[in-house]
Amino acid sequence: MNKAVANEQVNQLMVLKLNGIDLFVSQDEVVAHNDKQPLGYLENRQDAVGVINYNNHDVMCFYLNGEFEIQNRVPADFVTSVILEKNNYRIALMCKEVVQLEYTGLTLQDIPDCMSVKRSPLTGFCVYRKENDDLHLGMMTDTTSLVNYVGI
Amino acid sequence: MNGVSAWVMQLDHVLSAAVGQMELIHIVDNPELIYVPKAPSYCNHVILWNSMVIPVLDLSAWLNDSTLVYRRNLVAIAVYKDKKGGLKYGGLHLADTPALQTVTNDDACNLPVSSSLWQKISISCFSNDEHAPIPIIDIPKIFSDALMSIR
Repeated sequence: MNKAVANEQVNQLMVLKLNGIDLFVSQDEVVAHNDKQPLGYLENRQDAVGVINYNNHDVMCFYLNGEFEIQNRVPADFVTSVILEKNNYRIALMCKEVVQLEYTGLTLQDIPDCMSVKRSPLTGFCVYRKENDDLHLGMMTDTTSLVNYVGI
Repeated sequence: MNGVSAWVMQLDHVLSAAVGQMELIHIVDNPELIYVPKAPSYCNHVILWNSMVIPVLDLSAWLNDSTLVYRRNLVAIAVYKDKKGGLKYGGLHLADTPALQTVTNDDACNLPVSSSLWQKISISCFSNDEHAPIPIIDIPKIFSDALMSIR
């Protein structure tokens, strides 16, 4: 079911630009994003690209390609790391770019039952309108779903 | 004899299926298909229609257990009620514009033998002089999570 949401009732959204696909996440969960953040070596997770120290926590950093597959080789133009945090769960992702979403209207929608799969970072869709522009669709995620998806 | 009207839809160059007249509410020609990673291969695109995100189901791909094949980019929008009684919308890939046909009880026949999966998603089936058996599909069922567990 659609959930019409007034702008003032929803948290601002950040757009994580991945390889050919964008992930939308509540700005509240984005606690840091940096360009060319040094990555520490992580011994026990071959699929992670490294570890980032944030507030004395080691946060595992991952790179998802356009199919949401976990890859341990990051393309050269993916220099931005974003750290997401919610309810003491933390995860970092390598992105091409992280931008704040500018929109004039927003509707949230659940993933349809016929598309729902157990192992996906997606939590739903959003439909938004840019000023004087057509409607656009975004794919929503959150920290918990990403943590579960990569299996931290 | 009086009958009821049904839309006969070409799912690909071979398969046909039908839905009740009131279940199909719109045809979208050449919509922008938006890919959704990690979704089932037979339903990994959505379209934006009337400001809503509509899943687009490829029944031909599900029945044949194959990936998408080239076809005309035509999507039928179906409406149905979910288990809670809420109105929902779903899209079906079509190979051609659907045709309205009158169906009577005398047209009832067995489901096609081409796939045993038809019986999992069909309410009934009909045929006439012009057509091979045409299953009438259960729209709420195909847009539930049932297809994932049937295969």
